[in-house]
Amino acid sequence: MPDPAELIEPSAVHAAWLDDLTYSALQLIAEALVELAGFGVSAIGVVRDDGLLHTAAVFGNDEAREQLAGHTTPVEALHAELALGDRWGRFTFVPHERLTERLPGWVGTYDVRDVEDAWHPEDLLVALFHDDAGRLRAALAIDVPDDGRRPGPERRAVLERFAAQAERAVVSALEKARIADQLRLAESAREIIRRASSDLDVSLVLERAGDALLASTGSSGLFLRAFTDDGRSIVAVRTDGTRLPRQPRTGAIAERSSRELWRRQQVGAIYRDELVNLDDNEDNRTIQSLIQDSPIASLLVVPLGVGDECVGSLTLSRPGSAPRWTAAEMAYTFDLGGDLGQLLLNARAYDREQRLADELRALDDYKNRLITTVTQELRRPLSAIVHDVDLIGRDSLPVHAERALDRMERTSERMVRLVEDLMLLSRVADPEHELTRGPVDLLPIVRDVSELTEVATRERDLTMRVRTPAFTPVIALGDAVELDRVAVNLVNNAVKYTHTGGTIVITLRQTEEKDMVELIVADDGIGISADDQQQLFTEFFRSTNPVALARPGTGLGLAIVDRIVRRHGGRIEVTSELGVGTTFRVLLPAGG
Amino acid sequence: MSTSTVATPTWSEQAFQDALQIIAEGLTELVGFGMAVISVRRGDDLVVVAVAGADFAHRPDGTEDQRDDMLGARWPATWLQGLLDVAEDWGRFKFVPHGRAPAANWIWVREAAVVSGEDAWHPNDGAIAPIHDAAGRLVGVISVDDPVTGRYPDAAQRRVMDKYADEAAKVVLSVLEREALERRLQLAEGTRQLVRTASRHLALDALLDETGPAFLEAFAASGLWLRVHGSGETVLTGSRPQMAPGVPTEAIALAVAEAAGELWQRQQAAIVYDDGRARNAVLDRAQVDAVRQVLTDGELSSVLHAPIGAGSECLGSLILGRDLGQPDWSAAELDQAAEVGRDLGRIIRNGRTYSRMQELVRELRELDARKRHLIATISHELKNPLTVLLANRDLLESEIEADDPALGHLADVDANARRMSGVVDNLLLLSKLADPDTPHVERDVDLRLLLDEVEAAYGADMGQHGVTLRVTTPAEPVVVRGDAGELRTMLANMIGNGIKFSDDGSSVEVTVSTGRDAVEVAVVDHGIGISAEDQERLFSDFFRSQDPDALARPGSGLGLAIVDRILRRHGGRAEVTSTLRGGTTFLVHLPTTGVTPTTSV
Repeated sequence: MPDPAELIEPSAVHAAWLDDLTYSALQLIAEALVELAGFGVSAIGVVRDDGLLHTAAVFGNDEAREQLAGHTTPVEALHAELALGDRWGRFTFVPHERLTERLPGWVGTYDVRDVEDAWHPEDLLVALFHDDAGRLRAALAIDVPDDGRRPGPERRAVLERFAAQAERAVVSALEKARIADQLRLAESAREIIRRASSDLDVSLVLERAGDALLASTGSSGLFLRAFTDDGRSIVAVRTDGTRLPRQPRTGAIAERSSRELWRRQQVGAIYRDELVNLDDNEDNRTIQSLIQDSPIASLLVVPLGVGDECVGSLTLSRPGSAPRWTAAEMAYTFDLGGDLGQLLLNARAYDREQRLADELRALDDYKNRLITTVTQELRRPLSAIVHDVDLIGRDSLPVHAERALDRMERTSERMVRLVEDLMLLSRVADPEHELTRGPVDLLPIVRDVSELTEVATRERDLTMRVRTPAFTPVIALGDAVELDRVAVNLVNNAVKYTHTGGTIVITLRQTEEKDMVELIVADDGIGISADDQQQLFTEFFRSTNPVALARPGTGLGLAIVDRIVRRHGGRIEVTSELGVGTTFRVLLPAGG
Repeated sequence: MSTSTVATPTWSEQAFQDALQIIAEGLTELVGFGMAVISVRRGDDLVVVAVAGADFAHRPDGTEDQRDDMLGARWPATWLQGLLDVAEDWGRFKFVPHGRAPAANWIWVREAAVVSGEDAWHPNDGAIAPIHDAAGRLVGVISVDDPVTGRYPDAAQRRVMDKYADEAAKVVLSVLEREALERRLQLAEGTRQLVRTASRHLALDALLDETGPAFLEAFAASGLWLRVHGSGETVLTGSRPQMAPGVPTEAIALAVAEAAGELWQRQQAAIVYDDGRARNAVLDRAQVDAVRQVLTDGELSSVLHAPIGAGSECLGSLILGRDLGQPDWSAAELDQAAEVGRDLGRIIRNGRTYSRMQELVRELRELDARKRHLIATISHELKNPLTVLLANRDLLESEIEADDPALGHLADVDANARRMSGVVDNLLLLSKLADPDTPHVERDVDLRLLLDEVEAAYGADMGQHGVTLRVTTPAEPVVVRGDAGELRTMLANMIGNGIKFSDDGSSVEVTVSTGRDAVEVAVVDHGIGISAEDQERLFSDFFRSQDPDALARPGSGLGLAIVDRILRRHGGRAEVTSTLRGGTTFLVHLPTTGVTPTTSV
């Protein structure tokens, strides 16, 4: 029995490169051939990735199976042997007498018939099977013809039919295995990407990808790292317990190798005795020497990147018993590196925005506290100034000196108002300064305010009408001091911008739905232009209207009202027409 | 007999057919039959994929089919069952004697060479070998007719037929499995491409431009309709622009949106066929009819609707349309489409999360700009009255007698107004220092020159306080890299702080020394000192001591906050050692450039 495969390395486990289903399919084909073609023994060898022909299935003779199964031989050696024979279509027949040296194999012990065309145990009958693309995929050898003769022209035609069919079956089985393998890789890639894409956080992307990768790449461990803007890296590690000795430089080496590999658009493999796609430099030799005495036999270095940019690195490890990295696996992990690179880039962009938002928030917070602190720092010298100015006697002063003193008084008072308003604004605008809520009856507040402005209204001949329920309280939910300030500021505002002889109407009531209370302050004063209305509640907003500009104020009154109303969960509306008047409507949650 | 004939079956891959053809030919030549036909199952039909031995055949109604017509012919799988029900068991092959089954159940009949005898093969005789997969499902059938002997096969021939059928069945199965795997691989690759491209945050139309064709091919679809709720974006791709006028009508769009929500809850994709059949559909009869109208208008046989979503939220719809004559959607395709809906949902959600974050950053930037403006306004609003106040104070001072008691008050007003002015300056300075985009002029600066300036500025102050300032610097330049103005302010604040907390008649010593990578500036005073508790928080923003002694000393209280900010901007740091009532030492470290300055300060 000629052997299509010479023993080079014993490979007891067919499953290492051929799955069980394919193996049994080949076994069935070998069996069918023996039964149909009239031969006693058949063997099928399959061409592997590495160019070796591997005997995968033997049928018909136990001794032959023992000797042949799992043996490998270089394809060229078989070609050399077949070159001596006669081509019968797919089959080549090499009579034993032409063989000077022959590949080791099984030689049956049976009697040679005493006929002219008798089959000899050392005769060789081998068919070569090619796929659709014309690549040699397998070889079939048959031995021990039922009739003990070398096949004549008729048998040869029949044999050719069987060979054609067997070729289809064998190629089909092998292709199926290859496609199934690709499918497994494609589906696992999707699963990895799917899991890793569920978050926009770099660490979580790495962790999720790490779990999914370990399950699908047949590795014993992995090292996944994302390079960051500031030169650090974020790392996820998965391992079955075996890992390389800790080495401070491995991170930097992985980054350098990955950047180079991404530039070349390749993945690299490090074996104890070989470097694939990686330069023989100090970095890679360092890693090679690390795995030399470890349970890890090989590392696959996969760059993670997008476009021109390498954003991370994936290193997969395999133990000594595991097979080498196949071309399909390398191609698959390379694609995966691109997909993961995109996810990392997305996560990084998000991370950057998030950090920016945090920084901006901190900056805003800082500036708020800065304003508060500065305002507080101003109080002490300011009250000292007010006190000193107050103590300066007027009696003996010349007239224009007295005027200077008046001006000093007025400006210091103005500064006091400003600082007070700033303090209040800081307090009501500070989210950390919590609002103390309680039921507040707005009725006495509104009455007090109208009384307080009596002097001003009388001086300028203003009519002030207050419309409130006669007996029932109007209760809002909030802070009495702050709500008092809302009423004071709105009424003062109305008084300030109403012409002499004008009318101000204050209305206080519950809304129809009873869930809010309503404070309306309406005047028939100078009014506010539509443009100005847009910015009315901004601090220090100055009207473009010269009439309004002529009336003094801190510029913070309405900003304070707005903040207080907002933090009470209410809202403020303004309707106004230039030269006709202005109406402010404040809605506050009802209390009690 | 009526059989639909499809000219180009989608699975008619040459290699696939070649493989089965070889088997069919094997049956005719090796086993000895005049005709062998292999059919494989497609949905409810059996489709002829290989014919051997015959160039033509007759239908039971007498019409003649040529070889090309024979390939691709379909017959219902139920007919096969009708034949098997009456067949004799020959092992792998089942023999159907003439007369037992309606002749119409055969797709073709062969005129056999009639021989006489009991075992003569009759034209309406036939032998069929059904092929089942591992799960027992019928996947195909081999049928033979017209034995070359003209007679029933004998026992030996049947044994060969059996063996051959066995072998052929394996090959057919293997070929079919391979074909199924290839379809799945194509699906997996097509969807992966779409998902991969979508991760790049592309707009829907760009996404479809890039991956639409591959995706359509993977799903054997002719049209793809993608709609994301809320974006108002509806994108269509495919070879069927006819789909466009029908689909986006208001009623259908609404029905689709509603259905998507329901389907997302169930985590299913749905199908509607043009013949009214539906799967998983959540549409009512009228809606199904409306969809069928769209199919008719678009010359489509079916649509598959996969909801797009993430978490509990349905985000949109993915709809695929198939051409007339295309097979039904497989369970795998339905699953894959639903998966793609989830993948796209996750990507859309991530994209939106990212956009929201960008929006937030934009808002925060605006807020910061407003705040910057506010601070500028506050300082302006304060500086103005301070100027007016000081001017009138000066005027008043010049108008009153030298012995007027008001003079003392006016001096206090002056000091306090200047102090307020200093506080307002610090407000602006700190706001500026906190802004990351405030320009920072980097150049080589000799600290000795800066100290000279600060010392000169404090000259007058010193006399007033009765505090002596002693500055010790190396003979050679002490060079650091940074902003000269900021560094001067920093030194001035350190020294000012020392003077502030010193008692009259005491001294403040400033010593500059250079180390290997850093310059050290030590400012030592013998003043009131800082409690251990206060030291910890000394450099935190706006720290205010609780020590009444410290509070009594006039000053803005912002000096160290400014020192801290400036040091941070220069990569430096400060340390403090102090004992209450025992004086304080501030030690400032600044990274050095170690070179002679090329520019003087």
